[in-house]
Amino acid sequence: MKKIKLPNPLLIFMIILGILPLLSSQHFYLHMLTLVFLFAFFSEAWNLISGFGKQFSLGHVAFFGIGAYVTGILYADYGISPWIGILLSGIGGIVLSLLIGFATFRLRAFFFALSTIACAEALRVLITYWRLGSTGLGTTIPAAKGFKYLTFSNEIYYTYLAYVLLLLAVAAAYKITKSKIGYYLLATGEDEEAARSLGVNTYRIKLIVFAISGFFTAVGGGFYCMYTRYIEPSMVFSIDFSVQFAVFAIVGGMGTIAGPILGSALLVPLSTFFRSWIGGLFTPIGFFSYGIILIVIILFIPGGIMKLISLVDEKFFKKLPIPEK
Amino acid sequence: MLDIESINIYYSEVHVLKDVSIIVDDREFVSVIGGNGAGKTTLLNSIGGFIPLKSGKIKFQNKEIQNIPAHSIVEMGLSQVSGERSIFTKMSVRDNLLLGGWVQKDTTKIKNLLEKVMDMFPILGERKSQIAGNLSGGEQQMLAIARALMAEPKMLMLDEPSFGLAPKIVAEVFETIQKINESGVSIFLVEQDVHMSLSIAHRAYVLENGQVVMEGKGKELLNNDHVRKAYLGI
Repeated sequence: MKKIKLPNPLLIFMIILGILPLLSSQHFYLHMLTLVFLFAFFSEAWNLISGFGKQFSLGHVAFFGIGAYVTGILYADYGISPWIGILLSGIGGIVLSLLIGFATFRLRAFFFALSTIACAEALRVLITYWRLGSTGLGTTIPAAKGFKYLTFSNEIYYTYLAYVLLLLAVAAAYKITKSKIGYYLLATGEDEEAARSLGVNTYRIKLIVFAISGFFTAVGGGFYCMYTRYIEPSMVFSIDFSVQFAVFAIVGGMGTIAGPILGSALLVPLSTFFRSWIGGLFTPIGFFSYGIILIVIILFIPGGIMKLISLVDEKFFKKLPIPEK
Repeated sequence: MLDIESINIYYSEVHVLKDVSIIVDDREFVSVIGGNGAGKTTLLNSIGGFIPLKSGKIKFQNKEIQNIPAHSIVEMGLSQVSGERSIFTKMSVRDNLLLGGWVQKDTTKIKNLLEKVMDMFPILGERKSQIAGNLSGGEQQMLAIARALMAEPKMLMLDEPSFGLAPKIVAEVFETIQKINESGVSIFLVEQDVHMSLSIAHRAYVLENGQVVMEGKGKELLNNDHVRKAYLGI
């Protein structure tokens, strides 16, 4: 019997996301969407190595920060177009990921996670000392109008750029999960010894995927610095970012493609709400309530939103591409 | 085919394998028996490239392999089915098998192998789309063996394939291993089920406290007084 072929739910989901920025031209709405897309993108990149590959990184901010600094300094100090800067950021991310990977991929589980934090912190300190000599610690990105300098007066351009980034990351994740590398990655994540005993060079697989993840994160860091127009080591190398990338994916569903997007869509607005509204009344309460909500979500749906969805409907958003008979 | 020349292994201070020498010939079925903590699994994992040697040599087809990483050893034709079955429980049966086959470059060959293996293990063919974690213990063991065969090994090493299985299933598993051996693959079996493994192995070694204390034909050892007393309780 021939089955009627349904369009890929992921594709529909992405199209719906693509329409969202057109619904309102309100600045705050678009700003929120930009952040949701951007953090979904970061979380998606993190999810490649940490979700599918189960190599839990808590130092992804290293790539983010390097990306922000490469693009930011090249533009602010040397006037190099941020478009080129972002590309160089990506290359910087690859180089950095290989360096970190070489050093840390022999470690397992918690030791790997801890060593990634150490790498990110070391970078933060290095960049801090490097920038101490110049005027002030932070760097302001000068405003120059025009597409060439990635500067737009209308927020919607940023929103769509963030959307394109997300689209690229989703496409990469989709492609990887359908490929040999993806299967090797899942096998490595599930049981590394077993994968090696089948002839999988797990070290190489982890390095490749880590490099892809680092590339995306650094590209995003470059874009982020053009969006916020100010960078400072303690900000762009803050462990808060690493944690956020992870938390969004965990809440949405680790090791799934749509998970990081759902996590980001839920938590970015929620954290803003708690920080600005409730936190406006009394600051600690904002973070406190946000923390409570995270704990509740992780306690009651350990598999994340995707787990919930898959319980409701096994057919949609499958975690693994099960080949047809 | 496999030539282990007086290897020594330490876990920090503890001397786990002491001057162990073992030979497996082409198409031979060799078994290693021994109690818990005798060093059987360590022996297997060191051949597979997972544990570094302190001294000694391991040769496979006259090439030294003691410094070759685990994944390259598989490519040379030496496959391993490790103790905890270690199948990928969240993947489908078919994906598990494919993962075993991708050491080969030729895709049509992989396809043929997949069919061949599913003919050999009909139950895996029936359940190819199911998640491997849902298989029974015996089926999972069959899957682990089938997956190793996807690499078309010249020699197959097995670590206690009988572990945790019902006696009837154990007999089935051993029958399968014997069939694989008859098809031309050398077998190196590490096993606690002494009676079963000695009765089908061509030759066997007895490992005690990290040392080879006895060596001989499988049936001979089965009648040996020491073996009967220590391992068969007769």
